[in-house]
Amino acid sequence: METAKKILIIDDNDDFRSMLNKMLSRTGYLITEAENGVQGVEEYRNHPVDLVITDLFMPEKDGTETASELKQIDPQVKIIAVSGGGARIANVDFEDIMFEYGFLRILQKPFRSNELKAVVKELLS
Amino acid sequence: MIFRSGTVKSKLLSLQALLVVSIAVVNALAGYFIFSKYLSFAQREKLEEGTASMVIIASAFVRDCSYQLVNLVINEAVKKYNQSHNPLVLQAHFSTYSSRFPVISFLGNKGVEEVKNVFGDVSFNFTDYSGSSFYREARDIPNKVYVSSLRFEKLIGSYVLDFAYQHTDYFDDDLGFVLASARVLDLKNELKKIRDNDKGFYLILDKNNNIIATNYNKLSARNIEEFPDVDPLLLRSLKNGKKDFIESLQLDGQKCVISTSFLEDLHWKIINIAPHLTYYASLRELRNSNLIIALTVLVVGVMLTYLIAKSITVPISNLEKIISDVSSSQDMSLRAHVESQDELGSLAESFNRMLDRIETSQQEITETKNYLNSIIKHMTDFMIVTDSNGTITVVNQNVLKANDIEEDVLIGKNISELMKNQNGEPIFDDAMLRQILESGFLHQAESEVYNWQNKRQFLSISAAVLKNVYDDAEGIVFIAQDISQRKKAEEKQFKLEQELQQARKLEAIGTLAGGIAHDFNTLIGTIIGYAEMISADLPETSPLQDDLATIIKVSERATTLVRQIREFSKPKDSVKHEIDVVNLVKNNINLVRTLVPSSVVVEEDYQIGEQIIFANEDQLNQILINLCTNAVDVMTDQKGTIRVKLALIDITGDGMADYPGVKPAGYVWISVADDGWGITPEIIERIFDPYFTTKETGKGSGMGLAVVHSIVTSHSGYIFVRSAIHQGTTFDIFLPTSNKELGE
Repeated sequence: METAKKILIIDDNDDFRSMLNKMLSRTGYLITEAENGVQGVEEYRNHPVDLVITDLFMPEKDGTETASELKQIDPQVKIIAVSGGGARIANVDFEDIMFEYGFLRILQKPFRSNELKAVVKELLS
Repeated sequence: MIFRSGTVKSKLLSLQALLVVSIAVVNALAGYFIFSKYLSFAQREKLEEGTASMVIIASAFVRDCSYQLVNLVINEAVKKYNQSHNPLVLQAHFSTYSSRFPVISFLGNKGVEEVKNVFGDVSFNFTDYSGSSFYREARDIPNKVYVSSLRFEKLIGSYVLDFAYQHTDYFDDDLGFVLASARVLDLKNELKKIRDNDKGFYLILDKNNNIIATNYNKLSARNIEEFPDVDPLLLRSLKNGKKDFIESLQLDGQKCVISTSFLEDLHWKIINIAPHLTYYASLRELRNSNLIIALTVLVVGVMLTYLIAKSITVPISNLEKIISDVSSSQDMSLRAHVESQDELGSLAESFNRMLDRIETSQQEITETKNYLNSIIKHMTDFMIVTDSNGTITVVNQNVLKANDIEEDVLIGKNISELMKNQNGEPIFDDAMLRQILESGFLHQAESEVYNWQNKRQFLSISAAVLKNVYDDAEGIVFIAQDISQRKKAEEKQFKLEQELQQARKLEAIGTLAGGIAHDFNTLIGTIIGYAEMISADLPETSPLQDDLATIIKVSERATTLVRQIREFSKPKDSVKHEIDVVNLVKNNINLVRTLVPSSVVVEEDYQIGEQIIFANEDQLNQILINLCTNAVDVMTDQKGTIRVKLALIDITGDGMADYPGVKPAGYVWISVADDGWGITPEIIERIFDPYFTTKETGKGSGMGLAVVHSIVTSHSGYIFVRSAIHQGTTFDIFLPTSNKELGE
C-alpha cells in the first residue's frame, strides 16, 4: 500500500473543516488543518503536503493570497479552492481566478462528497 | 268708462263729434235768435227805411238850397256892400233857389229889394209866408226843416210843398232863413226810385191826413178822407195808425202788412203797405242765408276738427305703431317719424332719444357679452354653471370638447350625470351640492373624474356660489382644471421613486445575501457533508436513508435560494447584447423548476431552435422568474401546470385582432400560461399598475408585473394578458427579432 497522501485543509469554519477532515480521513488521506491563511502557509512551510484545500474567503489572509504564498514556497503545489460565494468573486469569474492564482479546481459550497472525493482522487493519482 | 277704456283716437273722435255737434247747435241757436230778432227788427226797420228815404230827400234838397243860397247871397252882398258885415243882410229872409225848383220866393219887402239889387232884373213871384205856422215853428227852433201843407202854386200850376229852415252858426246867430217850395211831382219821382226796390208802397200823411207824398199811383186824392172806395178797415188803420203799429189786412185779395211810424219833427205819419210775400221774402232770404251759414260753419267745423283731430291722432297712432313694432321685433334701429312740433312731436323725439340710448346700451351689452363669452369660450379650464339644484345652465367649449357632447344635449342635464367617480357614483350629489351652497365655495378639490364618455380625468375642481342681489344662492360656478398630465407625471415620479426604492432594497438584500452567502453555504456544506457520511455509515436499507436524503435535498434548496437572492439582487446594467433567447428561456426554466414546489409541473414548448435577439439578459431572466412565480401563486394548493411556449411570429399589415397596437414586424413570442384561478377583467385593467397586488398584505410588492411591463416596453416589445376564470391566465410577450424599429 502506498504511502497515504497528505492533505492540508485551510478554512476558518471549524465545523466545516473538521467535516472535511472526517470525510477525507475516511477515504484514507492524512489530514492537517489550519484555521486561516497565515497558519496554513506556516503549516505548509513546516510540513509540505500533496494537496491543499483552501477556503477563498478568510480573515487575516484569504484564499488567493494564501495560494500565492504557497506557490512561492513550492511552485508545484496543488491547490483546490472551496468557496461559499457564487461563481464569481467581485465580478471576476471563478475560471479567471483559477487561472490567475493557479487553483486546480474551485468547488462551490455546498458540494457533494462524491464530487470532492473524485476531484481529490484525480489530482492525487 | 269710455274715458278710461277708450283709445286716445276714439276719445279724440268723440271730442271731434262733440265739437261739431256743439258748433251746429250753437249755430242753430244763434241763427234762431238772430232770425227772431231780425224778424221783429225788420218789421220796424222796413218801414223806417222808406220814411228815412223821404226825410233824407226832403232835408237834402232843403239844406242844399239853403247853403247854396246863403253862400250866393252873402258873397254877392259882400261884393256889393264892400265887405260890410251888415246884420240886415244876414237877417234877410232868403228864399230857396234851385235849378231843379225854379220857384224862388223872397220874404219881406226890404229883403226882396236887396235881393233884387243883388240879382238884378229877375222876375219873381212873391208870397208872404210870415203868418204861416210852419214858418213860425222854423223861426222858433232853428236848424230843423219844417214843411208846409200841400198847396197849389198858381205860378207853376203844380202842387208844391213848402219847407222852412232857419240856419244858424255855432253862436246861434242867424245866417239866414230858407224857404223852399218843392213840387210834389218831383217828390213823387224821388219816391218812385224807392218803389223800384219793390217793397210795397208808401204814404206820407201830414197831421191832417193830407197825402204829402206817395208812390202809389192809383192815389189821386189829396186827403185820405177823399179816397174813393177805400177799404174801411184800411182807412181806419191809416187814420188811427200809431207809432210802430203793424197790422195785417186783406187788400185787393192779397194779404198785406200795414205798418205805421211817425216822424215827430214833421208831424208826419209814414205808412208802408206791403204784400206778405214781399214782406217776408227778405226774412226767408235771411233764414236761408242763415241756414247756408250754419251749414258752412258745420262743414268747416267738421273739416277743421277732423284736421285737428288728425293732427293729434295720426302722430299718436304712428308712435303707437313704432312702439309696438319695437317691442314685438326688438329692433332698436326703428325710429318714430317726428310730424309736429307739439307735445306729441317732443314725445316722439324723446322716444327716439330713448331708442338711441337703448340701442347704444344694447350694443354695449352685446359687445360686453361677446367679450365675456369669448373669454369663457377660450378659457383653458373647464367651466360649468348650474342652478342651485345642479342643473347645468352654461358650459364653455372646453367642457363640450372634453365630453364630446353637443351643447343643447348637455344643457339641462344635472351635473351629477356629467362627473362620476370610479364606481359610477356622482361626484356632486345632493349632499355635496348642499355643502357647497352652505359653505359658499369649494377650493381646488383634486378628484379622479369619469366624464360623459366615461373617460378618466384628474381634475382640480373649484366652485363658488352665485348669489343674486338679495344674497340668495342662484347657482354654482364650477371651474375645473385638467391635471391628468400632472397626475401622470406625479405617478410616474412616484413609480420611479418606488422603483428606485425597490432597487435599493434589492441592492441591500443582495449585499446582505452576498455577505452571508459564504458562511451560509459553508454551514450548508457542513450539514450535507455530515449527512452523507451518516448515510454512508448506515446500511442502504436503513429507514433513515430517506430522512438523510431529505436533509441533503432541503439543504441544497436552501443554497439555491440564497443563490437566487444573490442573482436577483446583483446590480444590473440595462445594456443590451445579442443573446440567444431560446437558450436563455431554457436556463430560466431550469431555475424555475428549482424554485417552484414539486407539485407544479413546468412544460416547455420550443418551436424554434435558436433565436438571437438584442436584449438584456438579466432583465429577461427577471421577466420569466416573475411570471412563473406569479403563476404558482394563483394555483390552488400550489398544484398545477405552467406552460412556457416559444415561437416566432410575423405581424404584418393590420396586425392581429387579439393583440391590438402591435407594430408590423417579426417577433419572438414568449407565452407563459397557467391553469390557475384566472383573473377578472377589472383586475386585468390594472394588472400592470405599480403596487397593484391581489396578494395578502406583506406577500406581494405589487411590483412584479409592473417591472415586467416596464422591461418589455424598454425592449420595444408588447405584453398582453388573456384570462378566463377557473381556466387560467396567459401572458403573451412579443419581443422584436430586430433591434431596429420599423421604418428606421
